[in-house]
Amino acid sequence: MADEWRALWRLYRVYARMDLLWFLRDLRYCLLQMAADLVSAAACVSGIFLLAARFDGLGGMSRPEVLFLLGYATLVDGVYMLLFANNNAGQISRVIGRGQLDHCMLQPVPLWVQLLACGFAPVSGCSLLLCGAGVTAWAAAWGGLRVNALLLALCALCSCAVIVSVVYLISCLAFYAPVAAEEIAMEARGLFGEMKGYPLGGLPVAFQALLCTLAPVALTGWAPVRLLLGQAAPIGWLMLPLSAATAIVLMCCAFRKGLRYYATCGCSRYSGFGHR
Amino acid sequence: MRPADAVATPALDIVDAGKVYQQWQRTGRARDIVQNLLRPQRRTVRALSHLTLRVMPGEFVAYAGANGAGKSTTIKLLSGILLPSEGTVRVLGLDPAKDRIALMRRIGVCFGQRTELWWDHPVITSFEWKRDVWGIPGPTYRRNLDMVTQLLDLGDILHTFARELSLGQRMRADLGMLLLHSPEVIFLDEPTLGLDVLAKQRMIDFLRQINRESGVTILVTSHDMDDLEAMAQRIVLLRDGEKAFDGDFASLRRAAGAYARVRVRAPGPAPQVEGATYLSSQDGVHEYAFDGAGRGVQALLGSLARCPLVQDVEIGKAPIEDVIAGLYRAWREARS
Repeated sequence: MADEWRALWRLYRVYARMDLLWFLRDLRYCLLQMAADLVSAAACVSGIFLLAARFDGLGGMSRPEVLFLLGYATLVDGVYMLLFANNNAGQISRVIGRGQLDHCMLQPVPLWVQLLACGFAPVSGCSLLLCGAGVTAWAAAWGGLRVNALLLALCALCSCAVIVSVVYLISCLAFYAPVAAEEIAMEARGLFGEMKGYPLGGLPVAFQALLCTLAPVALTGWAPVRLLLGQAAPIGWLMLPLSAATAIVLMCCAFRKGLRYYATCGCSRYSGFGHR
Repeated sequence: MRPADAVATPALDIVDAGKVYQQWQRTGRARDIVQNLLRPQRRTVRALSHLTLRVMPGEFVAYAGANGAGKSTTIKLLSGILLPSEGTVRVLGLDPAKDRIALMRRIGVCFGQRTELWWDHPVITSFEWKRDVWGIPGPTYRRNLDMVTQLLDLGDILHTFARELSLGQRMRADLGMLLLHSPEVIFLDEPTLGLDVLAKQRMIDFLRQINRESGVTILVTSHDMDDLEAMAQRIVLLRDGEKAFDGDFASLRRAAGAYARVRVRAPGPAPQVEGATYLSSQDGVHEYAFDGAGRGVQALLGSLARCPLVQDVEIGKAPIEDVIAGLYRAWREARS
């Protein structure tokens, strides 16, 4: 196991260097991509924040708290982009559906290490993270919110783990239906779009429970922010990591099963000469 | 491992391996919509059937067969990408499915229609990526990099983006990358696909050289039988997932009953040559097939000596393409 963690660390360094090389060689395109990420993040944040500003708060949260929630949601997106932006690691259904797992199987590294490391983009994927951290810090300063930075980082990691798990879990369909489910990761990711930055306080409890369990959008924004702001019961500090761990375990089981199917049945997508 | 064991262990050892796929069958008729949804029809396809194959270290084996014969499936089984439905597969004494990671450090796999190069990076970045991911020691990496750069003439393209390479350049770069970790066995699936004559010749020369000088075991598939004959000493022919032939090319010609060829240059219509069957004519060159066994050549030469118009004679083996095409045709007719 220690070897595998060492391999993960080695691969993170490799992909970080490759990402930096891309930045240095194609500076214009890299900067354009980062700028596009920032514009997209600003657009996502502004809609909900304008609503909160118009009504002096939203869903039981004050304006600074709503801005903090939006910053947190962007921060979670930033972590996701940082770790899974490159090489379709965040769009795993494409890799599965296109039969590209074969390339992974030819490397002398465990598959989980490859998938965890190959999307690492510390340069080209850092814009959302910086934007989210900036907005979160600004909102905390504006509203005088006292937030522990370590707990904030822990919550962001748990939220990111939930997103990755759900995206990978749904993407496992591509093992069985490679053509139909090739782009399903994008749809799964869409589940955690603008809604995760939306204050859900005004919703019925049953709906909130649904969004914390089966469709765990709330675990990637509203629920951890309430925990960080001290508005939720302390048991939540146990529930959030437990939920993230459960999602990871479910995802791993489904992925292993899908991989077994792949090894047994193969992917007929690129039969013959590789035409699609 | 002791040296004696190393010699005794086959590079590839496939015993009674089979691979069965399920294919979904669906109709486009409206009345079948419920059946397609609830009980779709499945068809069982047997890609490999009771395949037994042993390849010793240092061998260069051509692996051939018609489309769908099971060549790529075999390479995927040997690489641990697919699991066999039955039988066992061993590469260098390891089970590809269970010992994938250890095995990948010792073998190299190249699918001709795909590339392992990083598309948006120069070739050298892909090479360095491989060095880091495979954990290739610095001196080994530098030595192998120098070797492949020189032998495959990669000097000009090392700093070119993979996406900007021609097919021939890409294949050379892929092959160079394949050898950076000094693999003991390499599997090449259609490596000459789409290459021009010169690029193909360079690749063949290179593969023969590393097989001869470094003792690398090579299993190569191709539809181009001339390429295979130029490369390999042994040919394994697959027919509908089963091994139909395993031996050298001369034995294959004998087994297929292939006659030798004689090309005769003579003006006018094709002369009658005793003991030979006329095949075709082009630009005053007439081709015949004849049985080269026994006294066939002497009899043929005697017969040709009696033709006053003959200007030139060229005797050769039956083209391997014709031999294999004849076999495929016979198999297809036998099946239908």
